[in-house]
Amino acid sequence: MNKTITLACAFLLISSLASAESPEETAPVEVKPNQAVIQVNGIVCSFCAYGTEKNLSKLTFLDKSQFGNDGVLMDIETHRITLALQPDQETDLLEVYRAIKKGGYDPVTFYVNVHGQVRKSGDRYLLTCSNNGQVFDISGSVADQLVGQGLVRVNGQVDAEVISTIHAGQPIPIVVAIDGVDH
Amino acid sequence: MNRFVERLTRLAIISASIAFTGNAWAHQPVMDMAPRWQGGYGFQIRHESYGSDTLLSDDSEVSNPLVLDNYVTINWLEGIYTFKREVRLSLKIPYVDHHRTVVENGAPVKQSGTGLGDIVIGVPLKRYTNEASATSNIAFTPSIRLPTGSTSGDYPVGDGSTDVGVSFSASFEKADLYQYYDLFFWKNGDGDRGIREGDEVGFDANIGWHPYHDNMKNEGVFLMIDASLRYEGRGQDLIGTTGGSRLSIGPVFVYYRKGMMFRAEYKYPVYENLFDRQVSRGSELNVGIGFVF
Repeated sequence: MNKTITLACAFLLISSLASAESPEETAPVEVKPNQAVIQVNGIVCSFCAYGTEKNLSKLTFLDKSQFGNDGVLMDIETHRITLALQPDQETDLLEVYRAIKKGGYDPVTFYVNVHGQVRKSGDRYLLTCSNNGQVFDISGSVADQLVGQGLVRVNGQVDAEVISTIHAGQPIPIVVAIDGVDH
Repeated sequence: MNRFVERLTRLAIISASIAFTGNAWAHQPVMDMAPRWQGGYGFQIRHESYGSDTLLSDDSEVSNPLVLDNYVTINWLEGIYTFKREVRLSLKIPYVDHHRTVVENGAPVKQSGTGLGDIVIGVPLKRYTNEASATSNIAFTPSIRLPTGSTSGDYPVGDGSTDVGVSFSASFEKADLYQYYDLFFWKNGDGDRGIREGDEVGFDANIGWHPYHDNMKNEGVFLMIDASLRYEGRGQDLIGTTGGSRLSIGPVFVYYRKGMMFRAEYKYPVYENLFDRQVSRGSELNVGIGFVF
C-alpha cells in the first residue's frame, strides 16, 4: 500500500510541473528575412505534429536547404512554426494554412517579413516584394508614411481567419505595427 | 482549462488508487499521439510479456510446492489509419506464445500454445481541442475482438468467442506534460470447449513528463507513469476459474524522432485479488516501436 501511495504522490508531482507558463510562450515573434512564422494553437508535441511538418515540407516555395532539409521548424515551446522561404518565389499563405489545418492544428496568426516598395492604389497601400513581385495590401498607422520611401523592410501580421478567405492572386492583407518597419 | 485538467488528474489518481486484471492492451490506442493528420497512417510492432509462478488465493500468496506457473508472450503487429483527425481505424494482430504448469492427477504437467491470437479492430472517434499552449482530445472507441485464434490444444491461444468493447478516453498535452486516461469495458462472449471469459472493465492512466526535446531534430523523450486498474468477472478456461482484480503501476520510457516512436514499459502488480486460486499475472514488460507516415 505504501508503494501505491508513493506512486500516487509521484503522479501528483508530475502533474504539478505542467502548470507553469514558459517564458518562451510569451516571447515576441521575430521574423527574419525570407522566413514566415505562424503561431499555431495546439502545437505542443513534434511527434504529434509530424504530419503537419510533412504537409508543409511539400510546399514548393520553401527553402529545403534549411531546418533539417525540409524548410520547416516547429517550436513546441513557443507553439510557432517557422518556414524558410525561397526569396524568388511567392509565398502562398493559403496553402500553408491548409497544410496546418489538414495536419490537425489551428493556425492563429501569420507573421511575414517583406522587403519592397510601398505605393498607393486608390485607398489601399500596396507593398510589392523586391525579390519576387508578390503584392501585399498593408494597413496600420504607418502605411501612408511608407509611400515614396523607396525600399523598406516591413514586418507584418495577418490573422489566419483572413488568410482562409483570400482568393488566388489577391494581395495578402497584412497589418504593420509602428515598430514594424526598417528603412 | 488548466484547473479542469488538474482536477481530472487528481480524480484519476484517486480512482486509480482505489482498485482493478485482465486482457491488457486490447483496448488501448495504437499510438494516441499520432497520426492525427488526415490521410496519416502507421504501424507498430510491440512485444508484451508477463507471467509468474506465484500462486494466489484471493489476494494472498499461498504455498506452491508443484511450482504452478504461467508465462505469456504476445508479439503484436498493429496498424492505424486516420481518415480525418476525428476518425481512425485500428487493427491489432497478436501472435501468442505461452506456456504454463498445471496439476493433472496430482502431478504437475506442462502445457503450451503458439499461434495467431484474436484480432482486434477498433474505430477511435475523437474530438480535438487546440488551445494556445495545449491540445486535448476525448475519444469514444467501439472495438470488436474476432475469434481468429485457435482453440485447439491443451493451452489454446484463442477462446473462440467474439467480444465487443467500448472505451472512453481523454488525453491532454502541453509542451512539458502528457496525460492520457482511458475507461473501457469488454463484453466477452461464450467461447469454445467451455471457455468463458468474464466481462472486463478497466481504467488506465498515463501521466508523463517531456524532459527533452530538440526542435531542429524533431527528437525527444517522454518519461511517464502508467497505472492500470482491471476487474474481470468470474470466468472459466480449460483448467479452472479465471478473473479477478488488479492494480499495476510502472514507469514508461518513450523516445521519438520524426515519425518514429519507441516505447518501453514495465508494470508491477501492487494489488491483485483473484477468484479462487490462480497463478498471479506477475509483472509485465512492453516494448514497442512504431512509425507514422
